[in-house]
Amino acid sequence: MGFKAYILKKAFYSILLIFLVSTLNFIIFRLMPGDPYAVMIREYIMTPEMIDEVLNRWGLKKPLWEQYLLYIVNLFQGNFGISFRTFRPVQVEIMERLPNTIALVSCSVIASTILQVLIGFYIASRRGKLSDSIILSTGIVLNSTPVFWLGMTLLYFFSFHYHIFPAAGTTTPPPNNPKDPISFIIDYLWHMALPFTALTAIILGGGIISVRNLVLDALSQDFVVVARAKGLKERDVLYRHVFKNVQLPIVTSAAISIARSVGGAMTTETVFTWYGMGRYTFESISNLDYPSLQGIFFVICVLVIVANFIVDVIYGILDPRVKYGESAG
Amino acid sequence: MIIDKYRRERIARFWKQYKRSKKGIIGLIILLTFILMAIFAPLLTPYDPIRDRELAEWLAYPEWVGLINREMADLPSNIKISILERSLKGEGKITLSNSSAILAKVENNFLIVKSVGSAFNAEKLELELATMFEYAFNPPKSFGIILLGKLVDSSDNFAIKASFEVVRPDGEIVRVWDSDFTLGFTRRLMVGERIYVKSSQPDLLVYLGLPIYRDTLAKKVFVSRGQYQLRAIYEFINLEPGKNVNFTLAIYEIQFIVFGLRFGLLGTDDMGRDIFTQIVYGSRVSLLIGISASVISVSLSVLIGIIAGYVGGKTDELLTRISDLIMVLPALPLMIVIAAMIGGGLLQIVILLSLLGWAPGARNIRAFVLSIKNKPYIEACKVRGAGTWRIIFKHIMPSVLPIAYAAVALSAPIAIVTEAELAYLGVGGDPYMISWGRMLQYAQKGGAFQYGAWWWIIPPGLCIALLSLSFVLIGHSLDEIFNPRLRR
Repeated sequence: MGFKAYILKKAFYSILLIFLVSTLNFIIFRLMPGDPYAVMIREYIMTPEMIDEVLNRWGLKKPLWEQYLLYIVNLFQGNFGISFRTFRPVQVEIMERLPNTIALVSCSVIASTILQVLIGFYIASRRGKLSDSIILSTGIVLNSTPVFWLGMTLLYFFSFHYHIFPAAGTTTPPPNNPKDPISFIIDYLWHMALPFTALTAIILGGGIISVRNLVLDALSQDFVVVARAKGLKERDVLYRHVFKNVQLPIVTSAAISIARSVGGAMTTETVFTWYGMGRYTFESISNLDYPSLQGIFFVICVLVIVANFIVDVIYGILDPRVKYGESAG
Repeated sequence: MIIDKYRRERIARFWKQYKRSKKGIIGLIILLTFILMAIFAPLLTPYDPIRDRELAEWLAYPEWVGLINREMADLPSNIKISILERSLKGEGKITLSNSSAILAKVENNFLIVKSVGSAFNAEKLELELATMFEYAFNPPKSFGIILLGKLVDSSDNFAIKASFEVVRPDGEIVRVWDSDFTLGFTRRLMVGERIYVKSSQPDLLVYLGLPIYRDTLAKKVFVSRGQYQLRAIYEFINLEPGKNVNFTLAIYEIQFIVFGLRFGLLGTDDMGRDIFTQIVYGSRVSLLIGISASVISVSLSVLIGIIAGYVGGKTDELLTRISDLIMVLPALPLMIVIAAMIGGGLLQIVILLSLLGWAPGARNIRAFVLSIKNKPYIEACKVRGAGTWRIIFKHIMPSVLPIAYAAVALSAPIAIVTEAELAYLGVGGDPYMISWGRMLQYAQKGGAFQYGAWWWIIPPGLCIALLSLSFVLIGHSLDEIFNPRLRR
């Protein structure tokens, strides 16, 4: 199986997953107890004729399979319905917020992946020393800390107590907002600093532990003994031989960090009033805004599936077995 | 008998190994502390975490900040002064304007005030209870007055008016309350009535002609440190002077409360509820969710992992695909969506956590089952004609269980943190059941940041982290004992 076939297979699988997720999304919102449309109807005093009209207009009188087809067609046209809260199209609301979430999540995932490799290698090479045990226990503690609480603590100390970082929002609000692109980016990053730190720290905690274990696992294998016997320096052993062997599992673990950080972003964004999908979810829950929730869930799932596909592609590039085909390797 | 002995030995051997793990012991101690806390919550704290409001000033600091910071020591703690009790004990004084017309006597710690025969025919008479107290702190933000009494019987031409005054160290008298405010001029003032007034009540401030801020009255009263006198004055009024009045009044309590700016172990929240109490009761939710969700989800993992691994073929393919799907789905958004739809009681959250949490464990167990499936002892069973289920339950299950124990401990933290995240976002949950995540939600909504209430933000998250950490430590130790790969 060559690289092309590998990519095709993964792409097919991703599309299948997106299809499954959209079906799940339909099932959750149509078949669950607690009729969401009843909420909307309950909000206003309606005569039976008006209810009938609403149900017809939204296609709720059609048989279920027809509703499902309609739903799928709408979904792939990017039509997620109208928000109960703002009465704007959900896709418009999502598009306003999605870039902020992607910026936050991707920065955190990239930074934490790089940092976990650096720190993991460092402490694995100093196994049993004081710095190893301090960093390792910090990692274990961080791994069991709720991200939103870390965010709240950072927010309290650095925004409300010492006034170093801004307390809310993605940019400075209009009257003083920066006009030229460069200071806009600086301002944006300035606002992102705290949520980014919280999210990165939490993913990093688990990452350090797993990289350390991977490195220690590799260090106990025969090729390391050979490398050492050849008289290679410990540094060369680590960064040439061991690194090549652990890079694949690290790429796989990046996929796990993506799912984790998307979950973490939900609460972190709420803490920092970051204008993204997480905060949107929070607002939609508070207002029982079902179309928005449905749209958010679908978009987040697609985001995660696409990110996983990218990780698979990177994996394929890095893994010689994929690149040159199973038979050649 | 022999099996029993064998089992006991095995447990003893396990414990001997476990004791050697320092991490495991620390984890166990933390976990046991939280479990004891959850069980003995009512003994640890006398209050209710949700219903007991206004135990002290809103957002009161923890009591012990005074030990760390000298300035904080100047903040008042709760001060409760029972003027009645002090007067009866002789630490205050009881003054009657005409001691021949009315009579005050002590009965069962109450003060009974009575007209004597037909001697009360003047326009009005007065009873004053007063006590001194030393106030040595910064001014409080608010204080309260409680008056409890009952007019046992009276003639028609009788009315009571009561008022409460504070005499400041500089000699100025501040009237802080009178019955005209609460009830208007009424003769039925004290009939089975509990009068409770807070100095921060806007209507009281309007009545007294003060600016409507929480602390204006308290600031007016408490100007400096020194000796304050508290006075409760009862005026007994004859509506038809010249005619006789008969009455019997029982006074049960006259109390003056300074709401402390320091309170308890962890201070108070924005409604004056005790945060330590909330922490103690919150441990119940986290433990319940953490343990039950992880036990159920790991049971599912064991079941599905064994079936997928042992049965193999199409079943394996299907189960593996389902677990792949679940592992790709972002769990928290999915739970938010479903919990928002079906309402997220504790039971629903446990079910959701279990249904979404089994996949990684099932994958591990499947791999393990695949590795032992073709071992000679299993082959031997097959040859002797043992059925699939017999082999699964008698031979595979026992070797899988140790992995499952570690998996339970390692998946509990995920459940605990996820529950906290859901509660923080305000999804589901019973409004009368406090949890640590919900505390953090209240803290964010209640302005903990703006008021700098670190005692409200830090402890709940620290408890979540500690409890999850204890499970992680226990899980790692179990893993080291049971997992042959990690055994040294």
